[in-house]
Amino acid sequence: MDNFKKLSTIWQSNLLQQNVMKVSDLRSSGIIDKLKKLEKKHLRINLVKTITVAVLTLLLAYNILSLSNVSILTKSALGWIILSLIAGMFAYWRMQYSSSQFNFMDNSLEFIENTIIKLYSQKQIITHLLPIMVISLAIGMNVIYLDLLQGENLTIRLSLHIFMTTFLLLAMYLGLKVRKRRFNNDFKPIIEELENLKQNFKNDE
Amino acid sequence: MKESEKEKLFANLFSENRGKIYRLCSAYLIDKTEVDDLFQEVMINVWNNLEKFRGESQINTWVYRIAVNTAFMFNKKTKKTKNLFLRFSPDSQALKNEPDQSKNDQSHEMIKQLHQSINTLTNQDKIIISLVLEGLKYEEIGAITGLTVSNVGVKINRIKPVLLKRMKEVQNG
Repeated sequence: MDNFKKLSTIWQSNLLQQNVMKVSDLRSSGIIDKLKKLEKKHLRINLVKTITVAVLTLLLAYNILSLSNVSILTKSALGWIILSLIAGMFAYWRMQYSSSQFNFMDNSLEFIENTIIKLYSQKQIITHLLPIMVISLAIGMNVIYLDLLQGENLTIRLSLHIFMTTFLLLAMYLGLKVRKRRFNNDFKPIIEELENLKQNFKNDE
Repeated sequence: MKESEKEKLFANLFSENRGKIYRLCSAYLIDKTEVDDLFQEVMINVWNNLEKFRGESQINTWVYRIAVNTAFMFNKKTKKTKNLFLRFSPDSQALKNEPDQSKNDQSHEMIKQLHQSINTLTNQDKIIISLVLEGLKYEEIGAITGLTVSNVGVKINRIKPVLLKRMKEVQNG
């Protein structure tokens, strides 16, 4: 026990603080400004994604609606695509928000249990949301092509349907692959470590 | 909370806790760059969560919770942002493996051995023992980790002899 007290004293003597920090010291170092920027970084990234989707949707809508004699079927399919994208983006924001809000102020046991759940929900973004959005988009686009290309011959129509659907599925496949790799690199090791820690916490109960 | 109040509170917390937090980070990781990265992440999380501090727990417990949870979440492989706090990072002689003339050589050697011994423990044990070394009470460690006081006692009684044994092994080479 005495040995341990000695160790504790030596440990605490390491990295002792001599000087008191003032707000002005931190402000003049630029740390406060950088902290504020970092705080808003995720919000900015998600905003850029949302704006990109919104602009692409508007372009699609403008191009289709500027054609002459647009039928109700095409307008409905366009509405379906827009609704799917809005629902998809809404779900994305919700999932991102709930999974990025790690509650660091919880005690470790609660934190570990909640964080494991939140990290797994990141996987849901990959495995559930992306395929649903792409399939909805493919259905909507196929209906629009079906309607708009009525005058063309069957070979051209079939080729366009196949090309567009393959393109969307390929984009989804690549998107899933990249996101899965990122999940495996960034989140999986943390989940495994947290699972180990959770087990350690329970072991001595 | 006003921006100026937030900045002042952060400066006070940073000033009062950077030594303790840095020691905790250095108990958890051995590489100096990784310790700096973790220390930075803790400070960023303290900043991001300052407005959520409700005073339900003591501010020290609150800071420790953030530090411990950040350590558990720390991913060594993820590329970190430029080290904001490098200028203010406490200078760890033991970590840098450089002699410090202002301290006696025996203490310095012991801190080095202590780091080496702690490094052989599991991640959870590293955290618990560093909190013990900081002089925290069982109740405080329980509040930080979520373990019951009796569990904290069980764990500490298990870790202490292991650590002392490892210290002896390190001393004997």
